[in-house]
Amino acid sequence: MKSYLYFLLLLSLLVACSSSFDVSDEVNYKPVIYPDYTDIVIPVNIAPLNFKVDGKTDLLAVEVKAGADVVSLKCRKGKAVWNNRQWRSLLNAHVGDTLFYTVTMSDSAGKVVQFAPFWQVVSPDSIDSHIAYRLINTGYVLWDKMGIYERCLENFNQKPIIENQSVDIACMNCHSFSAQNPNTMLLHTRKFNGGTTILYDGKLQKFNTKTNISMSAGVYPSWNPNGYLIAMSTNLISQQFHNDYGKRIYVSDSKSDIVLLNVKTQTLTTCPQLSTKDLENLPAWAPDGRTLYYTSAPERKGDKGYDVGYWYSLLRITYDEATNSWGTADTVLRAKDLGGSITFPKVSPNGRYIAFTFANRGYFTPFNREADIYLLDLHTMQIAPQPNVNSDCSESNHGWSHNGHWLVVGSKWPDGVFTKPYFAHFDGNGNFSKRFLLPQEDPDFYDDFTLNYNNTDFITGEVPTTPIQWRDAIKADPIPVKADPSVDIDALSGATMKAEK
Amino acid sequence: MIRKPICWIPVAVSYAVLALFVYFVINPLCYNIFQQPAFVLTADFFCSKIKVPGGLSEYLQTFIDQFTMFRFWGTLFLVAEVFLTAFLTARYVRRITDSNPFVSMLAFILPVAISIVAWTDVKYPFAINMQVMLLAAALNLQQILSKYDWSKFVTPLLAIAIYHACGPVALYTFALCEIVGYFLNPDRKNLISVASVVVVAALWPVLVYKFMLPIKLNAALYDMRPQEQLYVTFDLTIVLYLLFLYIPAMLLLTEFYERAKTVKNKNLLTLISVVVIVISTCLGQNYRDNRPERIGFKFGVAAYNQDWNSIISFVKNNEWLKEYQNYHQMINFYYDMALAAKGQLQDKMFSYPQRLGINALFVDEPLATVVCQPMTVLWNNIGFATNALHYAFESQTTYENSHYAMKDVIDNLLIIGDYNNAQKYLEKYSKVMLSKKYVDDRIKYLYGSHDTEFKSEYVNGIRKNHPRKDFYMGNSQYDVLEIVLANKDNTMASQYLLASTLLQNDLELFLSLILEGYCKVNYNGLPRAYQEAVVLYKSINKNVMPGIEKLHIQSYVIDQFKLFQKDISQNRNNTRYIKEKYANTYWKYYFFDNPKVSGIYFE
Repeated sequence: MKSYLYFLLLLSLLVACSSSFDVSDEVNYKPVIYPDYTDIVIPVNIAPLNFKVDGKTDLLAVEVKAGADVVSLKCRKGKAVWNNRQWRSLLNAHVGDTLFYTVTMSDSAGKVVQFAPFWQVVSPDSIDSHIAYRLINTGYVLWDKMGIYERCLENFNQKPIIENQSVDIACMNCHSFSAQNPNTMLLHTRKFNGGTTILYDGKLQKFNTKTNISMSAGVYPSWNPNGYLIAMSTNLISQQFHNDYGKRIYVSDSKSDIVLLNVKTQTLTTCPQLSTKDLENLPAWAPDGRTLYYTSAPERKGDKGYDVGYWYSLLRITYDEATNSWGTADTVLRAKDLGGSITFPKVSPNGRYIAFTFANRGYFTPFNREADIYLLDLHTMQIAPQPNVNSDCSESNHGWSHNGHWLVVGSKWPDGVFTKPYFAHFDGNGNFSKRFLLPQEDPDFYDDFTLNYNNTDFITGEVPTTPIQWRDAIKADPIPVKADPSVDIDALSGATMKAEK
Repeated sequence: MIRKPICWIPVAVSYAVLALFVYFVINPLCYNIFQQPAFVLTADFFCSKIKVPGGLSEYLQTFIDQFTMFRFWGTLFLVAEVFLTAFLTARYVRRITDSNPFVSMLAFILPVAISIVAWTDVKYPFAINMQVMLLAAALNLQQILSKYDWSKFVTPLLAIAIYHACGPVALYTFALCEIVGYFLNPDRKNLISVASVVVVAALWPVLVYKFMLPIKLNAALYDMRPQEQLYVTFDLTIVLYLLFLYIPAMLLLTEFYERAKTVKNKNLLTLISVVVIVISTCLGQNYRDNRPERIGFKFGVAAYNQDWNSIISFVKNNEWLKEYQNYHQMINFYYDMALAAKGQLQDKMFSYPQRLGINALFVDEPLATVVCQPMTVLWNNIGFATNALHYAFESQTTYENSHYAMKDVIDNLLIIGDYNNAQKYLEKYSKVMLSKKYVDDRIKYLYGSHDTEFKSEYVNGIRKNHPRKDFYMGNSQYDVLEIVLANKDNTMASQYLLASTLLQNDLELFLSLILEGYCKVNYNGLPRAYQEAVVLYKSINKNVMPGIEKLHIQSYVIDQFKLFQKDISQNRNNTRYIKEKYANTYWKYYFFDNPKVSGIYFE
């Protein structure tokens, strides 16, 4: 094995940049590369991190030192592109080590400059092999083509799970998985062939989750780790467009509640605590399967203008499946105390942390420049912003990897318009390393890519279905789920229906 | 088989004649092509097209369709395409039947004639032609191969290839040709080969749907344009289907001709061909440029180029456009826009029947794919870049890579000052065919050059009018109010705001805007429609707004209103008389054309 590795390294040296040049200047600062892969922690199984430099300069050489090994990268047209095997071998041989990159460029005047090295630490914490996301254009009212895709993080392969052309251009969204398990998946379709299609127990079935105890079909979902209970919000949603280009869009609810779908029994239940006049939203199960975190904002009364000061707090409630009984709702973080809105809570797989989006208003934060990722330590109840995963643009739609060592964050950095997935390593003690962008084979990829990576989520493997199976399931008539007969909630008023009668 | 060498001179002459005919009579300029998805020079685009049955022909046709943005090049390419199709058809008919040259001639003329009719469809007229051309080529290939023993194994594969390259209907036509060909000429056709094609036609689409491709059932079984496209509608679907049927029809006609040998008049088929040509030309003429929808698209191009005079003069010179059955929302929309741009909206807007009221002044209710680009143009002209960009993004989402959508997104990003994303879209648009000139120009602008078509006066004009204040956009009338508040010298916005109040019969608001100084109006020289509105307001309100006396109303307007009142009371049952007599007045709109009264709404 070792000799094979040496052979590869030797080979790479032979094929690397062979042009000769004299370095005219050595500077003590690091080069500006895109994507920014400088000084980061990377998983051992990540795809090659190819990068480029600004078009005005020419990349002459990139030398990577890892321990005693030295590798020279192929440089062409300002791009440094790894050979996949070479990259894989290097990472496997240097788990826990640091890779030091020395970059040499020539500027437009022909001056050859060598920059101070930047580093990448090869973490032994592997990242989940795949991510799933929706690719969607920048239209916010109309849509045409969209699809849910899975991308292998160990290489550059992207495959459609389902594209909407095969289902009458239905709008599809809110794909989610149970504990990053690709065998249990949920997907909503709207407008055409509407319903919630669920992959469970090897079967794909479409459900109509609107019942007499829910104000709408299920919207934002969270799978219980048991793999068959799904908490979902039910929302009456609207969106407004700002004249201020920086703000763009504001999505808000006039009402919302939370319901619980049991896929096994195909029944939907809820409780008065989750169906109050307040706006309960964005459920997130803790890994114990008994605690449900969610957000809640006061009942809407009249026009709240731009919703500045309209904030969601973080609450939790316990659920006992055996007795189908709910505990009392308990406020974990009060929005007023924090001076902002808490949204998209995501509990870490070990149950100790909650990563959430903190914003100045409302709950739907992908268009909110001020939205940042914060971390709540449930042991110490300390809250900390995470500068290593945040930027001046919106950060939202984040998710934990299966082992809890990686966080994926949807960020509109640097352009402010297009959401892209960034990854950051988590050390288990409340610290994230600097984030890095989803690698692409061609470093130019993002230059003209005008789709949004929407709601990126980790999965531990490929979804074991074909687009044909999804098509057939989505085109089928939905199975109506049964409302729990023991619940008498009027979802819109929070009152019991019997009382009204 | 008797095969004469091709005589190229008549071929060239017929091409030239056909091209001249198409150029001058049909005019293949497809106004709507600007808003259609464009041809992109990337592998992704190719793959996205060919992954569905019929995708290859759609890919090739999308390439050719780009030329229909130009009359000359459009003519050249389209005629070449149909000419080649017709030529291949004629060759095929001759190959299979040894027929008389007259039959071949008819086989040539019929597809040309049908294409001429098909071209008059304003929406997406040319998509089917490529499928037919490839089908005709495949039929010829099959005939060439048929002399080899192994061809019976190749023919079903060819049928499968036709299915994937040309779509399901082409496959069925191929099978039909095989069957007809066999019965016409059994000694030249291999029964196994024919049977295998029939089996492929019967089973392959089902297999593809069930097990191979995640496509829709209709895409697998019968769609002419299998890729789901929101923009495609076929007004002349039946005619387009005929394109597929003409090849077997030719075979049958040949048989008919062979049997008609005893008939003395051997020029019967020539006569038929002449009749076909005449009918198709008449049909083409009937639809050509006279369909309100096509005119709407034509106005769209003119508005994009700010050629307002051509819109105004076209409406002025074509009174028939005002007839009820010819009313079209987009003509109304662009006409209003052209009038406002020339500062004439308040004077002339009621010279065109505003049958949809405010829904033709703004066409975003209900929001549909086809109105996003026109709304972008409107907001750009009014001076509201963020809303223009919002609609441009919506347009780009549904018509990805279309010339209009991409240019609108880029230009508005430049106006707003989001240069990074403008560059990103320029990068993307540079991969679209025929975009180079535009992309080079905007890159020059991006790097600070003043020597560009994107004039800084235009950009600064919009920036000056653009409201700084933040507010929720969405209600067009309210949006215009915000623009007027941002710059009271914005005459186009003022005209739109006042027009919107008139169209909603909201005279209180109309007068408030004038009297409270929101919209700058010369009190002593009020436009005709405004005077009519003031007179009407006074007549229906006992307590009028203070300050109304400052508005000078000419005596003849007052006299005419008195006459109008008298006519109304005397002709309660003869509204037609009133409508005709007061055709261009606001009163007519208020009492008759207003959608609240007429009950006409846009669906």
